[in-house]
Amino acid sequence: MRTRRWLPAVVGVVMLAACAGEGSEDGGGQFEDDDGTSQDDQADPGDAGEGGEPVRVGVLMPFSGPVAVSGELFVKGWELYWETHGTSAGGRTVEWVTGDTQADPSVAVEEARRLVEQENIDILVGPLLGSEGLAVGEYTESIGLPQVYGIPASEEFLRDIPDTIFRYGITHGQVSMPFGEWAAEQGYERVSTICSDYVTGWEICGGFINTFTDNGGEIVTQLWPPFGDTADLGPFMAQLAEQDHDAVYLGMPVGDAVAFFRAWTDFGLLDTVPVLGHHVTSSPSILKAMGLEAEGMISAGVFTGTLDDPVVEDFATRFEEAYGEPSDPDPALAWHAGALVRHGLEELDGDVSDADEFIAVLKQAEFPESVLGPLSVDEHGNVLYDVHIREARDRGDGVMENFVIDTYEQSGPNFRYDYDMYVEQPAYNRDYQGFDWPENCDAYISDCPLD
Amino acid sequence: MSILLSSVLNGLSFAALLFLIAGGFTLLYGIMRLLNLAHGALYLWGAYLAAAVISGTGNYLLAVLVAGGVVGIATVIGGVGLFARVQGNELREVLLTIAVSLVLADAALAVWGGHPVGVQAPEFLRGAADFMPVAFPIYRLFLMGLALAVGFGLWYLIERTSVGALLRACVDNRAMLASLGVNVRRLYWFVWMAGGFLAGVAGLLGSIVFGIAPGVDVQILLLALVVVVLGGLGSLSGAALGSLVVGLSYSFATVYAPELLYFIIFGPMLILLVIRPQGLRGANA
Amino acid sequence: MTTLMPQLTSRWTDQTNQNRRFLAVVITLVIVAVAPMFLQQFHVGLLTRIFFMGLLAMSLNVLVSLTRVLSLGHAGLFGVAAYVVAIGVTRWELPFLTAAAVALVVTGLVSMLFAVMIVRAQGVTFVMITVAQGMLLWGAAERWVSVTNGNNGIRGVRPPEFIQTANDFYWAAFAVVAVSVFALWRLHTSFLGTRLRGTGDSPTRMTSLGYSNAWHRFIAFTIAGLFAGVAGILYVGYFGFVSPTTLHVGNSVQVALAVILGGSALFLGPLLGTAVLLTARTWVVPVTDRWNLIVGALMIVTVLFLPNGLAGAFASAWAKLTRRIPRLAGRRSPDQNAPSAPAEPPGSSQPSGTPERPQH
Repeated sequence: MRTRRWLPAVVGVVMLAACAGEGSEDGGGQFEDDDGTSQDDQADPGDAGEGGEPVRVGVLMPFSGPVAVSGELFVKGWELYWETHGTSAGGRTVEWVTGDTQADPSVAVEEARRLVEQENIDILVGPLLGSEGLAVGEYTESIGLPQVYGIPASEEFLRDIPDTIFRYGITHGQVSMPFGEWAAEQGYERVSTICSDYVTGWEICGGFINTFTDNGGEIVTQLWPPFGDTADLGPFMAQLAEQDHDAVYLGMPVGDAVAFFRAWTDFGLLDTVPVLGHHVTSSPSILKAMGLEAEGMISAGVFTGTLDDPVVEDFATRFEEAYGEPSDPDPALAWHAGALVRHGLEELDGDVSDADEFIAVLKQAEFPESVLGPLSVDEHGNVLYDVHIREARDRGDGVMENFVIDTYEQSGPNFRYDYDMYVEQPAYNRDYQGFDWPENCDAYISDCPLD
Repeated sequence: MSILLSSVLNGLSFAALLFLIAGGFTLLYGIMRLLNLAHGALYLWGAYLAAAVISGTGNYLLAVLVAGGVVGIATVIGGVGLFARVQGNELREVLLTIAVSLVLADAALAVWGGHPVGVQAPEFLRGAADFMPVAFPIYRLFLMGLALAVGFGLWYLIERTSVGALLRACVDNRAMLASLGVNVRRLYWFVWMAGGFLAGVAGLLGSIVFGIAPGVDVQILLLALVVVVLGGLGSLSGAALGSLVVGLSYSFATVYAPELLYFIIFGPMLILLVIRPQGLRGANA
Repeated sequence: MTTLMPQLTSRWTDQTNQNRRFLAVVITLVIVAVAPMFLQQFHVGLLTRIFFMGLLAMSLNVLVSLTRVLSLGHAGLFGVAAYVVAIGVTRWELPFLTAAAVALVVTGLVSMLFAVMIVRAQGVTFVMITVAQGMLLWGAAERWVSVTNGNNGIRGVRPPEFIQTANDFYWAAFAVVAVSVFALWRLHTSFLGTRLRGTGDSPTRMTSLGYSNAWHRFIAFTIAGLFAGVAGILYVGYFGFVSPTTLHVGNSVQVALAVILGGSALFLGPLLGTAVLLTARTWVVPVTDRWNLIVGALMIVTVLFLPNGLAGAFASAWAKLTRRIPRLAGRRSPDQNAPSAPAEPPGSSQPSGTPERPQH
């Protein structure tokens, strides 16, 4: 065993060599520094102005793993924003670095830490998934870093969100609740749902059912295929074929939606009843994978490149010119993240040292004209969106996009329900789908649609 | 009644697809004794290649040849260039195939991007069969027929032809076979090619049902593993039996015990392996 | 058995070398203990992660290097411990250390249950059973929402009161890992360790000597699971949350890669492999998105050309440097049949380390 005694030393040296650096700052994991601050080696924000230190933004997204495409789209929209508008804001130049979450919450936190501690970022934009966002949010709160957080739609954020996060995106229910009401008003009476069996699917379905049943609709059956599996959808199709319903509500994200549509077509169900979708089932890239048979699918969402709005049109044209693919909600959300960062910097003259202040400024910002349509903020800091009901159509050159057929203006995550009541209901899951509210909804909302 | 019938049909067609997916995997284990954990990545590449050919030319035969051919040749290269160096050490074989699958899957993401891709069946296989009493796609009937044909073809090849005799001899004693003057190397090349070809074509067949997206490789690998391990590693009839068990239990669980769907694939496999480690049709432990 | 023992004991009792090694270990421990005072906070965190992820890899190496089986469900047991702590602290409002104790007991029980399932399995069957075990645990974390909070995971797990800063946690983790590594070292050098090796290397001989292979596999698996649990407790203490990704089979694969990259034949190899992987990642990710491709390529090179991993390569380089005959730990090489590996001692006369292939 003579030769083995070097090994502990080598391991130690390698570990330390990896960490060669100066200073004795303290920090890591979920811990605060001894002195309560963590960014004291960063630019002094007081000297903002021409020639001041650049503002560094960390863009934290998955760039590898199954959802890498969302991260790539997001960065495309982000870069396009700054290319279009220039990188100067509030007297400072905006720079950014990216971090790869690999769609894993613990990696996301590690990357956030790397961006903060190695790249000296002042603002964090991202991440993508709800589980990542919840984990990273704890960290940014602990060190007082402003986090601009767009895509995640988990309703868990309604119940508990740190002051250092501005969640400018939608929740799934924010989109599916108006859609449920719309579906009922269109005369759909009996609907079956098929949503992926995890938190996103539960929330998409739960929101829809909440309002659909409140407006007199009836849910025939609920099917829950496993998420992200190459699970065979055949048995689900067989069950849907058996039902006496007048529409099917689909809440299976991205690749799963494509698989659903393939099966739906192959089982000859395409001409039976309409499929009602959600924005995660109907972005242009998904429609392309589904094929032309998806034409006519009705879905709800907040962004579509075909909206009759000069700001949206401008963005959609630029995006398609730059990247050769139709615009998508992900880059639009990224573009708006850019607009938010610019707004915050300009309001505070480039001073981003106080995360709470920066976020407070964003929470007061109204965007009557944004790439996501007119936006306002409610008293709980949730952004109100125009929710569009869209129909998928060939726009003329073989590319399918969503065209608006109806709009619910300025709709929040609680829709018509009393905010506190809504937040107090249990989190949607497979066993709680918002069925409990029909019949006596005027106990919860001011103008009960049943009256 | 019709729910029962469609459950049986769905189970059988899913089983057929599983068998086709597991075919190349079981062949490589049966003859090369390689637990090929890169199988899912080979499937993924076959799927992407086929989808590219179909969207470019619309020619399904060409798609089969390209997907099967390219993946087959890649498998020969991998088998001869990499696998031969660690042959005989199970641990390193397994790790090598894991490493290869990491590389292939990430390369696929770099080359093909992460957007989901849908692949349609050829024109004459689209839509539902109207002569059936329940809604059922023609493509799934085709899969059932194809699985029978491939299964029979492989069985005939291995059990009834002279090449098959050599292959079987090779499994038992390759040194003896080489000393008898048989070109074992060429035999190996044939097996690698066949295993890769089947995996690549399975990519096309499977993507028509599942679509293609990053991450599918891992799920396909897990499905193939479950099927093959349930049946007994390397046994063709075992793979068929394993496919039937998984396909039918999945189909019936969807209808009758949807709460258990997450556990329906790995639960039974775990129980079986504990009771009978060699699988349903494995020879001995 | 009789041929194994004298060699081992003679090696381990070489007095002079033991003293020198002891000195080297003490110096290393001191350097690592004072390191946070001189490091940036990011590197303190990185080292902390290397500690507990390295411990996880070393716990897996109990199976790989001793009983010669590869588990691809190891992150599952790691995750069980993390989940029990998280549930204990947030739901039952237990103190962290109490929850950690409960977590160890639960992880031990789950490990024992799983161990019962694997005692008859070898080779690829073993791999498959562990994959299934891992996937079932992952499915439970994902689906048993009322307990695990499903896909969103559990947040807000605070470490014990006396740990206030990241440096405190570093030292706590360092102490726990150092004690665990010492315990593992004792296991590797003990008579039990030798018997576990016998189970891996020559089960038939073990049987003829009157030892139960099944019993030893059970013990090895349980011990590996317990140490994975220790690592899982540190994990949840460090991150403050746990989610189903933690116990996914992909995570188990990463751990296995760390073991092989570092070198399973050398005791600290897995720790080295973890250190290299985690550190390299912080360098590579800012430059390219192709991290998985690089890890895969690195693994291919390691498996093909470095049968003893990086640790083995360092060892042989060191041996050459000091002009000594490379009398490396080749005896424990996972593959004696490998063609001309650099770390391979020429003409090794040790008993073959090639695992017996299951007969199919």
